[in-house]
Amino acid sequence: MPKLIIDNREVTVPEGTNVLEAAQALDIVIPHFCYHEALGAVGSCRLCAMNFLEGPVEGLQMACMIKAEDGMVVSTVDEEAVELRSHVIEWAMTNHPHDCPVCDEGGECQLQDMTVAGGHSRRRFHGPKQTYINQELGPFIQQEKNRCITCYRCIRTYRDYCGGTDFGTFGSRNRICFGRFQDGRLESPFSGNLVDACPTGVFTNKVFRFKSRVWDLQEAPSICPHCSLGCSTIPGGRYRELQRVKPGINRETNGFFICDRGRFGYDHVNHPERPRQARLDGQQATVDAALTAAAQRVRQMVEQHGPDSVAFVGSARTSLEAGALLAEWAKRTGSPHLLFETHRERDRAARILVDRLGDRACSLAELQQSDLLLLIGTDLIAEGPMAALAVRQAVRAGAQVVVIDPRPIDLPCSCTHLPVGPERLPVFLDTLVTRKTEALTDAERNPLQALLEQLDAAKTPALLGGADLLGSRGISRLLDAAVALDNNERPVRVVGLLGGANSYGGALLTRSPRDFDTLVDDIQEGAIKALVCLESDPYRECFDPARAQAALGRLELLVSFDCTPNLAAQRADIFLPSRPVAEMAGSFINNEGRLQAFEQVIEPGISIRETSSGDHPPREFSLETPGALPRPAWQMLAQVLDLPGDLPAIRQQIATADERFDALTSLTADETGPRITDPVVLPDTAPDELPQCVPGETLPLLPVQGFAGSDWLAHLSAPLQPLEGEPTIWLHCDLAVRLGLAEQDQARLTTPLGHCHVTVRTSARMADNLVLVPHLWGTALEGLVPGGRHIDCRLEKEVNL
Amino acid sequence: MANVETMTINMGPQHPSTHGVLQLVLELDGETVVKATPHVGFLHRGIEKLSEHRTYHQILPLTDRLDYLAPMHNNLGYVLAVEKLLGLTDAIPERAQVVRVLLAELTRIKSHLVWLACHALDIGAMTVFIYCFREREHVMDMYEKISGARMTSNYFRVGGLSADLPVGIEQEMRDFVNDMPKHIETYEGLLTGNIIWQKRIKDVGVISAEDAIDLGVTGPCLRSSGVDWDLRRDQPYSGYENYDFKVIVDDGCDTWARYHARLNEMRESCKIVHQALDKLKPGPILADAPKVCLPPKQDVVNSIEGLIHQFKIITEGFKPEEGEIYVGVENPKGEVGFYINSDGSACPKRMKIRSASFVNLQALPKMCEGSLIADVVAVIGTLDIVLGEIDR
Repeated sequence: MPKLIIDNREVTVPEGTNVLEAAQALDIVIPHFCYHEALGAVGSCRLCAMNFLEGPVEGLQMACMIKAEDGMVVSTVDEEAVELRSHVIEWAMTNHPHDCPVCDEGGECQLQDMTVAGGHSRRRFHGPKQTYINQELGPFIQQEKNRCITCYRCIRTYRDYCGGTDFGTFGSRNRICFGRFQDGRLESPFSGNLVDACPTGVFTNKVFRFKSRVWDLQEAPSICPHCSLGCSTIPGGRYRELQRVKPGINRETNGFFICDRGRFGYDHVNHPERPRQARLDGQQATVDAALTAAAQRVRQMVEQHGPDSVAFVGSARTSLEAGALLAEWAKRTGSPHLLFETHRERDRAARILVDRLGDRACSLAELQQSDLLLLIGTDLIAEGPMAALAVRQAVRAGAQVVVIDPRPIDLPCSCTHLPVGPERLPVFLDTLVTRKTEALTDAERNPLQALLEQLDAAKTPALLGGADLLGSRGISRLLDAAVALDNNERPVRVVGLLGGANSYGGALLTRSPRDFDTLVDDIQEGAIKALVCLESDPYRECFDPARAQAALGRLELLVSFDCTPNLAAQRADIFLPSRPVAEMAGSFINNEGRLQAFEQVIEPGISIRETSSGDHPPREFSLETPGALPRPAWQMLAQVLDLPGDLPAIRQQIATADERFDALTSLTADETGPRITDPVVLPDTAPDELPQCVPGETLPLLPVQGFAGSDWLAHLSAPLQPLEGEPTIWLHCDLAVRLGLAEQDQARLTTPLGHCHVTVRTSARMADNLVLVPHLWGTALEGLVPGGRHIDCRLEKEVNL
Repeated sequence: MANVETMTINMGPQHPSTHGVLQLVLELDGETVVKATPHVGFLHRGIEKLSEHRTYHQILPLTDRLDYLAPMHNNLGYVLAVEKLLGLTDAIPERAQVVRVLLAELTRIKSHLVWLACHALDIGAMTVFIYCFREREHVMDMYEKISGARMTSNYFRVGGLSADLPVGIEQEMRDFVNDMPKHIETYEGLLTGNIIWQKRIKDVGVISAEDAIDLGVTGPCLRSSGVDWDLRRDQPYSGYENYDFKVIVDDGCDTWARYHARLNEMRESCKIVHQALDKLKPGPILADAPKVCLPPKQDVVNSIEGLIHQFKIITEGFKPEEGEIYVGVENPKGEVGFYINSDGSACPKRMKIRSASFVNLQALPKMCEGSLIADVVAVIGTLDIVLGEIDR
């Protein structure tokens, strides 16, 4: 651990720390541009000069490029260093355009801050400034090349860290600029990180452009609600509108970046059809009246028909606090029916994972340390994009990645991909557990044996699996494999990609050993007459939506709490408007068991808009802010239960009632949360209805998640619309030939649920003999839910009209 | 004394003679004032609280509105305090310092003109009011040419001045202070020998030196009670030590003494203005502190460096180190002081304004208890209070 002296103060730092970081450990911040904790040091901006007075290195040096060593004596305030830094700023400023008044970066601009800090204030260069032509880079990124100071952060982010390939450096010498090989949308699902990485305003958030100055935004630390990884975010809003999301820094989970779905999926908060009024039997009502009616009717139902007649269903996007209060309500009625996932396989998989994960849990930071990663039955870009980024960092450090999946998996790093049908996945998992290869085909045997050898030799192996394709049996087998592959020196880590932000928390809270499909049976028979839905959509987000919808029509009472315009919200007898994550405080438990808190960013309300084209606004007066009636779900549930409605009291109550959630009482949003590992109520064993795609008479159709269009909240976000595209299906190239179809052909997909007009995509990197269909909300493909049993389909080329 | 029935009446806050929204609750025994209680706060705008949420540059226009009859003087006190907090006092360029003294003294003349006008008007001499305001118009015109506004100048800046003096203003100033002594003679001619004036203000509003010091009275009121104390000479700022002027001290202790004191102060101010105009040399008007001082507009418009500094200083503000400072200046009304406590952020943690009029007003009960109700009017006038400064 080298010990060195910086500005007369001693500091000891870990081996490998550079001097800039060593200074930061003493709270000394030197002006710098190109150094970034996640991107490393390249020494291209020349700004972080310090004077090395004594030691193994001497003279004016770039602090980020020098590793700290014993005996170094460094001065950051030395005259020479200060002067050099001001000259470097002057040089960087020679070509910088006069854009501050129209540049979005202002207020968050590292260039502005460093210019003032560097002490350069009077311009001496009066020559012409170099200019470039900007490119169109898609709906997310606005480019303004003239502002570039060639720090290379964009390249290091997009290509090196995120693995993008369509963006690069142009030119040489003093005519360098950065851009896409040709105009067009940036392909990486992490392209939004350019906005944060760029220290000037070259890359700005196009969706947020010109909306607000950053110091006018209300911001607070939050957690992304769009997948189970729980990345830290900082949403920003103004005038009752959520206007942007930027990554929060969490070195355990997302690091410094987020994916584009998390960055641009916020607009569901501002959705024009978001339900904001409580409803009672089809009429508008006050929230209080509707809550009273809900409590009363549920009580009456229990009195008349017994506690078994009411079911309580939460979801993976509801906060832990709301979920715990729903559980309390269920407990008080005596009802045994309490679930937090209407999708059967996702529910069962989550519960098994949570029950057995224990110390095998692996954060994204830990994933980056793996030397061998097996991704089996998981499409990380669709199910947990930032995990794909963590996998890439592991590969950059030398790790190997093996992917076993029927889908044409795209990872931002190289990997070995075995494209096999989904029915083979359990067979492979068995082989990993038993090491018996009899059930494997000849083509499969060698790769599996090689994989086993790799796994045995690996020092930090990790297994990753997704709930959709593996189901609960597969997840359970994956955990068995981890146990079998453990050795004395190291355990095998496991990462399960679950359905939503609080899937893990929901699994901890679930008390019924039954799953939603069996509840649907009871509803169909009339045994369950009432359903309380907490921010969930039992009509569509389940294994068999058609069957569920038929049964749900028979309910006598449907109570729904939600902030999105889904079917449950529309059809509820009693509807209560709840708040999305950004409008309240609460907590989630992510897929590795990490409890994380989020804080309220804005108050709900219809966004303030300029409506009268410059004239005086309409003279409407109201005692209430329009659209401000929604309340946090936990607050409304507390009211139903006659509990105090403030969050600290609720958290205390939950922790007291359930010691698994002890950490809730001291939880804050600025720490990375503690891990919770506890047993759960396991689901009953049930016959496996996993996706099977056995070639036969008909074509098997496998619905899968897509990066865009499959997450309900993200679907409601207008900025992400350009990514959703048209209904699409994927075929192996050979299968396409056999069916007489080609890439980009228009085809008609027919299933027992109906038909849909689709575009054909082909790939050689996927399993043959099946049709993949990415789930797409808002289209005819909506009813084809991933994680379901396979469906028979027919594909015919659409005749051109 | 046997039980005397007193009558309590309310004077103000709406009253032509209270010089603003001041409420005096007077307990009267006939026409004699037994007790006088000032009630203040009707003009409270929360300037000190607002300052806690404004950057140091943003606070400056608020200071104009304290003693709004001497705006540049308030500006001066404030910028001196911030400069001292930043350690910039020695870096203020010579020209800026001279202009500050120049305008401070012109402001003194302006303020005393209002004093005389309103004091005389209250007592009944309307002509003096008209005459004084006519002269004041000249100063307001000069204010407008220099700073852009007749009253709320916002002219000084942390580090110097916001803009240089306009061409030709020096001659205008010289003409003004050349003419001023003549005008003061005119006012004296109307008042000093006037028996009504003498009867109304001699031996009215008496306050001894001890009482004045005990109550914290400052300015001409203090000096007219025989106490020789003037911050310009005793705790000089902005180069006042280089000017030759008399500190007017009179031990009359009454309104008559204060009347003469302020008239003579106006004469001294004219002398200082002459000296300052002689000292004026071309030079920079802003200290070389780019992280604090707003860059010249030309730089902002023509260079990215100027633009960036302007952007950061305006939107974020500069951040003085943690610490606290108090600076007092000799405002026409007395000692006006700015206490600033910085917590290292862009907004002061606390800014307390030591207001001369607020403290002087405390002397009012002492000065008019036992006098007639008509004398209350004279006392208010002689104290020369401004509610903007009292209430902040």
